[in-house]
Amino acid sequence: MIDAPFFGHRPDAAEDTYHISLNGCTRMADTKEQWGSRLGVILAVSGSAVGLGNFLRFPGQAAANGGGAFLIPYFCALIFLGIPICWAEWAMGRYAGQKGFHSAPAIMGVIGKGRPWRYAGVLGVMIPLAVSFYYTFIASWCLGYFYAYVTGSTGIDPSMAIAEQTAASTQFYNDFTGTSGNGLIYGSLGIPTVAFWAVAFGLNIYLILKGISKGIEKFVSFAMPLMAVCALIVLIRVLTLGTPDPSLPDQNVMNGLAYMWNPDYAALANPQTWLAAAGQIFFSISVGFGIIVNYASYVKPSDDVALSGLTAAATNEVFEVGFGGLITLTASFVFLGLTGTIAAVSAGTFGLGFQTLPVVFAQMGTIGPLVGAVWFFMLFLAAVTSSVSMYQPAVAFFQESLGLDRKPGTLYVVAICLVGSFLVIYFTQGSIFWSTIDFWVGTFLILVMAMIEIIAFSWIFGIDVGWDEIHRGAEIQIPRVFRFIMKWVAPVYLLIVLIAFCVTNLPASIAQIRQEPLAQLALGLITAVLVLLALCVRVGEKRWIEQGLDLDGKELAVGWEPAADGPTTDASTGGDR
Amino acid sequence: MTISGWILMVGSLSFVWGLAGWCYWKILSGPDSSSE
Repeated sequence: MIDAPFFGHRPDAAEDTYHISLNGCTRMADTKEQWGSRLGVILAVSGSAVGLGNFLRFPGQAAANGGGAFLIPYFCALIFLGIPICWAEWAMGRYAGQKGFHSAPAIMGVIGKGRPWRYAGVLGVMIPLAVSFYYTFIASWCLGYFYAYVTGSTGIDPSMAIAEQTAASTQFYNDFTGTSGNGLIYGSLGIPTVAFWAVAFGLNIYLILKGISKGIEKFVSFAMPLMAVCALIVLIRVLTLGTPDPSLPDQNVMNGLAYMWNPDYAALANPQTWLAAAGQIFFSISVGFGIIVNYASYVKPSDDVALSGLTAAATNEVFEVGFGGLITLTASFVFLGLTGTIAAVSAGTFGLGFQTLPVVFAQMGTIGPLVGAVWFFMLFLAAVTSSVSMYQPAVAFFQESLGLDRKPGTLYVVAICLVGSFLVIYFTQGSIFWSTIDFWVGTFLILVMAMIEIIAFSWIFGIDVGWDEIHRGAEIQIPRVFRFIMKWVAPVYLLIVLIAFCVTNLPASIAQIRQEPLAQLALGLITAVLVLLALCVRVGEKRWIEQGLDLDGKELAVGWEPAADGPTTDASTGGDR
Repeated sequence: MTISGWILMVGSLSFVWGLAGWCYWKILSGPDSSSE
């Protein structure tokens, strides 16, 4: 064991002054932020990955795509796509961070060694920023539902018939989220919704203003363990439900688990199952968002990224498979039966989470409101640890492209987010506006960005240098087969997924854009943000050239040398070469 | 639940919990860079 507390942070970590050496010329650079502890960055990346999708989307996807059999393509995607790209992102971020860069465009310029990659890297700022427009809104739903459970104002009466409770739950959801019509939330009915959004947004901005170590790291250091405790409480309650209604003996925990886990191997022959599994991995572990590269750029050059990246991914899997795979559908099955659960799954992530589960909690008797409160508080924590990671890449980008301090950089982000969020909260009818952003940015473009990253890392930066970079300071030796996977398997796998995704989804989505003015408006917003960020890259380029920074990554980072063949951990600590 | 269901559930849970446990064990038994 070690003496230093892992959850503490170094008092001087937030603003270390450092030197950059270029062509033999050493000069003082800007003050640089760093993570206070190693576990801090791991929890921050894990927190970014763990979100509503772990508890709501994963079980729905699994149940709809072969049950337990879904886990086979799911783990294939994790091993051949998710974890390799994750390692690449960690290594790219740390490497470019050593050169003084923290934003995705600058990082991709260094790794891709040129301007086209720098502009492609704009996606790594635009994606998290655009997703934050609606993600923080959804986070505020969790806070609002938590408040409703604490105050007993969900409007669901357990003495009513299930159909009436479901109608009441749907009504509460529609009123709270304003899905019945545009502008409803800005009326008197929507005051609580706007208030909860303001609290959620304000909390995010407060954490961002406090900085990497004192804000984000400090928050995730208590939020992640607390989230695990909440999940454990709900899991124990669900697994001990038994057969709550003796007159319905089939509605028991074992059959609920069977609904989720019994495999339908025929689904493996359906390409849609493999596509859904790869999509879930991308949603889940935050690759392709530009978040990990930003977070990793604040890691010290000598710090491990191989074990840290694997740990962050593993933590996410515990929340997804270990908690999400056991709680959500089991609870639904026990109280709503097979028919009700199938309907819940078909209602999608938000239908399951915000309309069905409140009815489930209502059936739990006197403890139901408490379980509901713990559940939605946990979802709120999960949402905030994710949403805060969406603002940070944009703040870092404005800081280094426009030469701003953290506070004015944050103000730029706040201004953009207020416009984006205003539109999201106003155009709520049928959720078309933010669903369009979710599809094009939060689904399609993360696949594109991941492709850009893995090609830049494995082919431009070079797998030889990249492999050594991953292992610099590493405490584990990654099996050499992953070299081949990162260079060949992941790009080809990703290309297949991307093509299949386009063939399956694009025609309908393009048709929707032609028909729906709200979808056109959403695309207009995305384009405007993209153009603004590209202009900032242009400004940043001039600044970085004036500062003498190696923006095209022409030279290896200072002090870089090929990693020793194996982990740097002493053999006595269990290093496995 | 079928035997296949049990195998997939126990196998999946063992994999994710085992991997996470091993990772955290490695980290907690390794050097803490923040104290350097």
